[in-house]
Amino acid sequence: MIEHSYLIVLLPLLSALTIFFFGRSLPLKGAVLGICTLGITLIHSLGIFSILLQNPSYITEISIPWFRFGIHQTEFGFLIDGLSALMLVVVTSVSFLVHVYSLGYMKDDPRFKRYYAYLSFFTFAMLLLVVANNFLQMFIGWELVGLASYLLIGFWFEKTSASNAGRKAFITTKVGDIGFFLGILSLFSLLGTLNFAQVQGRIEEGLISANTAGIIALLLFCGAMGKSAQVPLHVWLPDAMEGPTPVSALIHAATMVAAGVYMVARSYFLFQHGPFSLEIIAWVGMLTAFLAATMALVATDIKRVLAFSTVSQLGYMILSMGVGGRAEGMFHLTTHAFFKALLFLGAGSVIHATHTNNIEEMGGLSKKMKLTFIAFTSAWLAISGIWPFAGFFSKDGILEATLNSNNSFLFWCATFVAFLTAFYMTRLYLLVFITEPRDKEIYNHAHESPKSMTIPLLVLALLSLVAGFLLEHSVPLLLSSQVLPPNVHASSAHTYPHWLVPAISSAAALLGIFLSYLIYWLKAVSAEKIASTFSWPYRLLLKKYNFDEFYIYCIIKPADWLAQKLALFDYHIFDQLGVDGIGFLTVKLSQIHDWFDQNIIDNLVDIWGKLSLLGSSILRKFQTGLVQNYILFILFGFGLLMVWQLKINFIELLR
Amino acid sequence: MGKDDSFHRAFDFNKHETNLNFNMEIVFYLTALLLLFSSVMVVTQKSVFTSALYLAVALSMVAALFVLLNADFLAAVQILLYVGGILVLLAFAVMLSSVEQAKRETQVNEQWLPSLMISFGILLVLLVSLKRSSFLEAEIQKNHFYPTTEKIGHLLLGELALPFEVVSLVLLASLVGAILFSKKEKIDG
Amino acid sequence: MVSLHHYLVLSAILLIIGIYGVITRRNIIGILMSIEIIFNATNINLVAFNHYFYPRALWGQGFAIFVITLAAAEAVVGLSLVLAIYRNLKTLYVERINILKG
Repeated sequence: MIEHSYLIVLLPLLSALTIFFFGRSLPLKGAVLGICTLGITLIHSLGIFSILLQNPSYITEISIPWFRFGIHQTEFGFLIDGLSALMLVVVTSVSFLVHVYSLGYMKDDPRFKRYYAYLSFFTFAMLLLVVANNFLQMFIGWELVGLASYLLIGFWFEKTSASNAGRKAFITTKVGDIGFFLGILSLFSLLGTLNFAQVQGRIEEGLISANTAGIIALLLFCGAMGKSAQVPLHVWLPDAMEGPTPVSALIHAATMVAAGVYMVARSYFLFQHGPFSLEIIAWVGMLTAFLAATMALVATDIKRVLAFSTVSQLGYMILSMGVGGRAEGMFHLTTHAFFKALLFLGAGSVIHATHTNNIEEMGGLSKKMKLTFIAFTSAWLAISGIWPFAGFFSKDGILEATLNSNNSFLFWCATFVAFLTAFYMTRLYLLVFITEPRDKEIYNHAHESPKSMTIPLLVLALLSLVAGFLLEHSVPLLLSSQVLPPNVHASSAHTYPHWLVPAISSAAALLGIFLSYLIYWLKAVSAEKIASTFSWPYRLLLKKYNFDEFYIYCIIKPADWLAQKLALFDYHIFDQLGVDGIGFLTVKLSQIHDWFDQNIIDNLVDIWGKLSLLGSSILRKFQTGLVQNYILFILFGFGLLMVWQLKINFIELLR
Repeated sequence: MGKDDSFHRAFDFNKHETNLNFNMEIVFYLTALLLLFSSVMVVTQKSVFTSALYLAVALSMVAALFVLLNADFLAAVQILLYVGGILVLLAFAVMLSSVEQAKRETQVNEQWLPSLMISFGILLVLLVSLKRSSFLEAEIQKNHFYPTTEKIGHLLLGELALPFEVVSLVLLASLVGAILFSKKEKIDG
Repeated sequence: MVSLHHYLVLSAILLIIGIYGVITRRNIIGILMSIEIIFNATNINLVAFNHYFYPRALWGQGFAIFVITLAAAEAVVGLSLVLAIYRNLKTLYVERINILKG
């Protein structure tokens, strides 16, 4: 099974190409092919997963050398160990469910075939990233995933907001990818290889200093910041909600955005080797989690709330990575994939029914969409971290990790964020399903979604419930296959009773739920009153902390201005001055030549004629006709002749 | 020697000593001065008649100079021909044609200044060349004065007989021409 | 002593005076008179040379006689021409006798 793991990557690619070129003639325009392919890959991945569960240290690596010069070598290969097996399952399962869901959601879309082609292409790229055994292949997958994201966000490109969002996503992640690529280049030039195992080996030999390793780790983290929407590169994710909801579920909740976290997990040894890199990413993750959670408090678009929630949870994962909880972070990634995908698909179901994204127009949908309601409830409880749902276990793990780090501030912040998460998710849940409908039209029109949509919802709901139990111990087991140096941040001397953290997290979650219940259901405190009391923070949150405005005014507008100025410069200096200028100079030069020829040369010719006339007009005066004049001239000449002949000088004249 | 000797015995040139009681230089200078003065008057007088009279004076002075130069016959010829003939002729011509000229009009034309300058120049040239020349002074000490008429007669009818005859032809031609021109008939032209 | 040099200078000056008169006088008769002066200058020259270099021979004086004769002939012809011109053109001024000028 494992020897043929390349099939996992290959099959979606083939399916994508087939659907793209021949989809018109396939049943259901290629959707069936896509679903079947994904089904096969899912079964394959589950098989690999089970093999590795039994034998976590069974690492397989297949590689084909690609190019080499000197000691530098790159390859093309597959690495199947516990981490990649876990990711395989996550990716293929969610992708499969989204494929099924899209049957119903995108049924009437005119570009149905292309959608499925893109979906399969994305799955191929993500799988390529996941099974890569070297940084270069991971980067290739990274970029391809970005491409697929761009294509899918801007799927409805007639809407300018959608195409803009696609561009924004691509460019923002590209900014992060610059750092990522620099990190890869540094590794390649310093160590001569990009293979994970070899890099780890060479770092442990001490080929590069600790500071260098730390800097390279941070460079790689830049890519994670872009892809996983950490602050300050998080701005693309809320706008990415312009895409179809299944896309949001697959790419921007479960898989692509998790790629950053996965990359950190893969190159964790690098982060550990640097003196401060883990701390930095912990703080970045913390900041992201906090800011995103606050922004979700005031959002009114159902998908946007979920987007902020995604950013916040990603921050949680990164925070976990930063404080040493690698396994906990991956565990949260897995559970998050399930319940976030469920949340999005449920939101998609709601949107499909009500034809609006605005939660302020919804309400009371629990009575109209029962299956969706049940699934959504499961997801809500999971994300809030209520036992026995999956989120409780994973969040718990993260909080324990932060507690074990040297920084208790992080722990209390993380707890606060958990509180906020519960609060805003409850707010969403109440406003959409429980509270009285605010728009009668929409309420009357709402209906349950077709089976193709509800079945994946229910599957995911089930997973949200049981994944916690199933994977609580499997994940660390799987991840232990990678031999890592012991955690730098040693556990603090304190030992806590093992029920302390669960208690605190549950308390925070329940507090959040209760508060939200007070405000939005019981209306004990009016939400509007709170908003008007804290009007300044409220507006700041609504504006998403003005990140977009900052980028526009500080980066985009100057770049535009510079580009315009350079264009003007090019036009005026090079085109007008240079090219036209040379033409102008040539014309002028030929004009000078012409003038020269006409005036000077022609005048040279004329001068001779004029000289003759002048001479003759002078000589004419001698012809007077008077003999006496002639005698005078003769005498004059005679005198001169005599003077010359006799050589008279004036001394002689003085006798 | 024979013919000559008999002739010359009538008058012994060698023995005849001139007894000059006058100061030659004063006479010369006076005569020269008067000559120059009167010739300058000739060329500058406004009235033609006056200049004719001055010309008479000048010619007479020339005759005096001839006497000083032992040319007594020539002096007589000068007076007779020049003053008595040519000058009278000039006077007649002047008087015949002086009706139209106004006495106030200037007689020198517009180029008098350059001609004056050039004349002076030529004069300088001549004087310089004279100064450079060295003529033999051997005979100057002796003042040989003797009657010349006989000798000139011998000369004219002897060695210069041919020019004598030719000159008479010339005179004939000039006479004929003068008559021709003086006829009262219009000249075609 | 009056030397040859004196006579030569005198005749040179007279010559110049005569030349000046020829090229300056407007009246034809004036020109003719100036020519007479020139002739006389020549005569003085001839006779002076004769006296100082060849006192016994008189070729210079003979030459001078011929000069005088020819001067007379020339004066005759010239004056008759003058009279003819005066009769036709009523003027004696040289610059006005320009029938030939084209």
